[in-house]
Amino acid sequence: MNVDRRQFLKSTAMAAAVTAAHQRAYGAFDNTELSTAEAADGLTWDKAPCRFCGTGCHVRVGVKDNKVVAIQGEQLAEVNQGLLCVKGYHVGGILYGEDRLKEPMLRKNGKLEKVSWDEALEAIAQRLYDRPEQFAIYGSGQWTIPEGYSAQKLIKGGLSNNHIDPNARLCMASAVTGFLSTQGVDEPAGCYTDLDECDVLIMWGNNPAEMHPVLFSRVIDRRSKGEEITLIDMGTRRTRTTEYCDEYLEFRPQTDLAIANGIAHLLLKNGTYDQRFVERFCNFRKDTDTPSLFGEVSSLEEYTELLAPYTPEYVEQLSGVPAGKIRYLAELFGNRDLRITSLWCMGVNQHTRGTNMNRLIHGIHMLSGHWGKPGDAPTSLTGQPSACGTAREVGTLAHTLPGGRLVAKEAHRNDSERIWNLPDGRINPKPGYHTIKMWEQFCTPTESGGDISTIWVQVTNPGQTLPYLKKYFQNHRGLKDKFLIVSEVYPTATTAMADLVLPAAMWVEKNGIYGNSERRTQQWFKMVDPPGNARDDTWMTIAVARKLFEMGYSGMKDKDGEFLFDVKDDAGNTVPIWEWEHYYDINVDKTLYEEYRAFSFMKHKDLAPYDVLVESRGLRWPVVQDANGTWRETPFRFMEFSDPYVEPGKEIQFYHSVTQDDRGLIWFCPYEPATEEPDDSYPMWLCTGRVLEHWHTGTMTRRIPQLHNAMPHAYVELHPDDARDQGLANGDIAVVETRRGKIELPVWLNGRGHPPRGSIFVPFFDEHLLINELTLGDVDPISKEPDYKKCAAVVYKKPVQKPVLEEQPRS
Amino acid sequence: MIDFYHSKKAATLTVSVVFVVSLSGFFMGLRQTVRETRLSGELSGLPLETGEARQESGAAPVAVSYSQLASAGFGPNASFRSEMSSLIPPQSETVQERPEVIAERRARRAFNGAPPVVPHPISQSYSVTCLGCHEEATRIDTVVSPGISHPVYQSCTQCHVSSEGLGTEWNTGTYRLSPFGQNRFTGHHELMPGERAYDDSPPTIPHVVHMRQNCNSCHGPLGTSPIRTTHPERKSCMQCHVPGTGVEKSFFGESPFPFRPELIK
Repeated sequence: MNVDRRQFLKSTAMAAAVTAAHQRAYGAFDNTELSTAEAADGLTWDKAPCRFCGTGCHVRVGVKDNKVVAIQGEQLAEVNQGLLCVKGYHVGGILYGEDRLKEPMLRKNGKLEKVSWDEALEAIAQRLYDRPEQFAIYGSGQWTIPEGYSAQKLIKGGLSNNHIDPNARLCMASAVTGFLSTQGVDEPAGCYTDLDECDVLIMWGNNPAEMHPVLFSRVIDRRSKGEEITLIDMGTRRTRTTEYCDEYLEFRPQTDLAIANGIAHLLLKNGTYDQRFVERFCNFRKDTDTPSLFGEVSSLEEYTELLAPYTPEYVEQLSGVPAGKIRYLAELFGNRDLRITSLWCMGVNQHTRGTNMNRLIHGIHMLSGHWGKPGDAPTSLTGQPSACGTAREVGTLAHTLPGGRLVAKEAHRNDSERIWNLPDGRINPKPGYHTIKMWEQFCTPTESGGDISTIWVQVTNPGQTLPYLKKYFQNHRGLKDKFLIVSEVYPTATTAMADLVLPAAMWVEKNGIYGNSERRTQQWFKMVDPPGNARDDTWMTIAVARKLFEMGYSGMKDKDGEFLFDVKDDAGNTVPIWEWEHYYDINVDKTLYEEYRAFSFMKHKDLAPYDVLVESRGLRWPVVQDANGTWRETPFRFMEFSDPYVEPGKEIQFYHSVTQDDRGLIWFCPYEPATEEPDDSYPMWLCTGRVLEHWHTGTMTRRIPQLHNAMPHAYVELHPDDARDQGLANGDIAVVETRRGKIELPVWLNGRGHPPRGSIFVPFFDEHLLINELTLGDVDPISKEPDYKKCAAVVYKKPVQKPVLEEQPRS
Repeated sequence: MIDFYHSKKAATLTVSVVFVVSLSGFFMGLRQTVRETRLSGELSGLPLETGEARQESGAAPVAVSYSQLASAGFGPNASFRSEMSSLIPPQSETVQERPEVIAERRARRAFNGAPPVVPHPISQSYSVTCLGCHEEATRIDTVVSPGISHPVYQSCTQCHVSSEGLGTEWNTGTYRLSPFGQNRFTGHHELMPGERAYDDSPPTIPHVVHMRQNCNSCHGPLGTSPIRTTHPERKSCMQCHVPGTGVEKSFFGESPFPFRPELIK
């Protein structure tokens, strides 16, 4: 029966492939004599990257009468090859929720009241003018590149203040520190082609079947086509990904560190590590007592010695993964005939030892030589559409300047001042506050040292996503002097507490550029108008800057006395882009992007010119022009066969190596327990995360009926035995409590995910059931990224059963 | 002698008839359950009022002897409800009209080309169970579960989500599945007509074939009547039917760059 089914699937898949090939080969069937039905459906189609995750699928957007009316997966896009996920197919609906914010609103006497754009901008400009050093911008990996770049320039180049950080700090900061401390420069060397080429795919605390579905399909579809691939899921709960895997290795939270060390230990002990690779391309480092980005110099001998305790038996004892399975993993890595790709995302990054865990995965791949060939790659995924493009490359972090520069380095500041045409010394050498610190200062009374008084939130929803919400967000309520500005598209948990709400244009209501997980920069044009008085985020930033300029704020002038965001047309006349009616007189995105492009060359992250992006479905940097003038992208970085910056004959060259000898670093980092582990009072592990249907806080996806109906509310998943012990059945209301608070959630048993005994899972998309009131505020000491995946909780039955899902009125 | 012989033969015959009858009677009796005895003749009277022996929640039913079985009153419990009346009545060989088919199609899609939502609760634990019914088109009485139109892609729930909440394991009794808010997205649903070069020529395909590689999914013997093939014995559909010219132009194909030259300045 099973065989029959497989055969059937294979034969139909084959037939489908033949059909597709036929269609490809014969193109548009123009040999037919039929009359052409021009634009038969009456739609205008244009390209855009999807608005949601970091995969960066390309969609075709169908527009009719100034409305988005249809979406298709772009068949010719290399990323998704015609496929989308359910969110992507319904992405057009995000523009049309009936409660779109359409007017600026200022809080007066406790209530948000409609005001004019001019009044709103005046209010912001006045606060900045009075206390520029107490102002912060909290942005996101959903900023387009020009949006992040203009915010960056306003605050660092204009206000001489470095308090800008993106929500990406909560998301991939540990991946950044992981890459920096192994390769010397951020972002993955490989690309999605690794998924097509690998024989073994190892997912470290990763659930791509729900979180990066199109990439996951790219792997499992290979099976339908008759290819063999081994999928290994290492996780702390069974997920939809597990269903498709050959091996499921369930580990005790936090012990991924021990498993990685256990694999490295066996590679050395059995002599199956890649001696040639290590000798040619690697140096060793070890973690210091006080964690630091570049650690302490080490050697292969010391590395071997430090790993000695991590025997399979010891690792089993720590992690619960059988010693035999640790040996199995080590054998896979020890086999040079296989191509092995590792995938990870939040499970590894949102970790109080996230930097270390990133280093260890890179380390195993380099130690075993599973690095530097298509299919042999440590591949870190991102969760936001431009976490790489805007947060990492534009460097919208408290300590960085565009293009991999640091505010603390004088040469980098000088460089930026030159490109921005600023007087010397304009950029402040002191790094600003990272996300958690920024919000802590905002929630601390000014008289007690809370020296952030105004935060401007753009394109994100911290009122739902910050950990330990009471401490890091809600506590600012009632504090005098504090002022929260929020640019948003819908009412959220953040706008509910805002003092000023600015209605924003979103996605194809404006021009934009995003950068995805595989270094691919993608551009799109505005296709429809935003509703009401909603306007572009870049415009808001420039308009505020202009107000300050007109108020005589000297920081808004460059060294020639010109406005910081001065844009000239072909005739050399300034275009007043700060006036909304003139904003689209010129392509501001193109102007800002071309200016920013100058920053991209220092770290060899060369971006393609805007016009080249327009004609592509995204290009992976470095994009370099070859002798005949063609712009060539780089799928594989540091590898001679692909990367034009690798010197001939070097094979692999880490040309921004920490040790400046073209070598990568293999790190030793010990297993250390989590900062909060279950105990008698709080005996369960609490893990939080996403679900397929909703993207992050659900601000967009919960307004799409198809997605909302499929996943209407949050829940707590627990093991049936734990539920039985608490007298809980499916659908009962449970109280989930941690040291930071408690909430009531309906119980879901044998549902989509299957946590083991002693552990629970709650998704964070539901603004009525805010799990982040319970999560831990502890951060990785190097990346400052919080751990959302582990803390201690207790679950018990709510004494009186009442529906909890009645919608709560917003304040 | 002869009489004796005959009487002996008659006796043997009689004994064997009695034996066969009683034996088959015994087994027939075993086969007929108490439930059947009670239900016969009163099928329409559900739920059964069985009275005294009904067990209240929690307590286990008391075992009774065989002789008391018939009067023990085993039957549906307090929560039993008959769903018979909610079943769709059989309509053998219905011919659905085109507008009806299109309306149903629209109800399940945000726009033409969107993945249809699943009009029933799904198993959340094992998404591969979808293929149990949808691997090939299946018909149970009048209900047809369409076959997968793109067999290469098998992570079904990646694109197809249920319109009925969290699924079969979920007790939704206590929760209100109210919409989060209204959405004013209006999908493009217009279908393009097929074209014929001359009368009786094979019509062109009026839609993209991407994601619809298995023509039988909609046009096969179990497809909806207005678009069902008249010649199911022919298997190579695209031998005669090719995508119409309008299709390639307005949808995919080797689309030219740039899309909107007027925007490049």
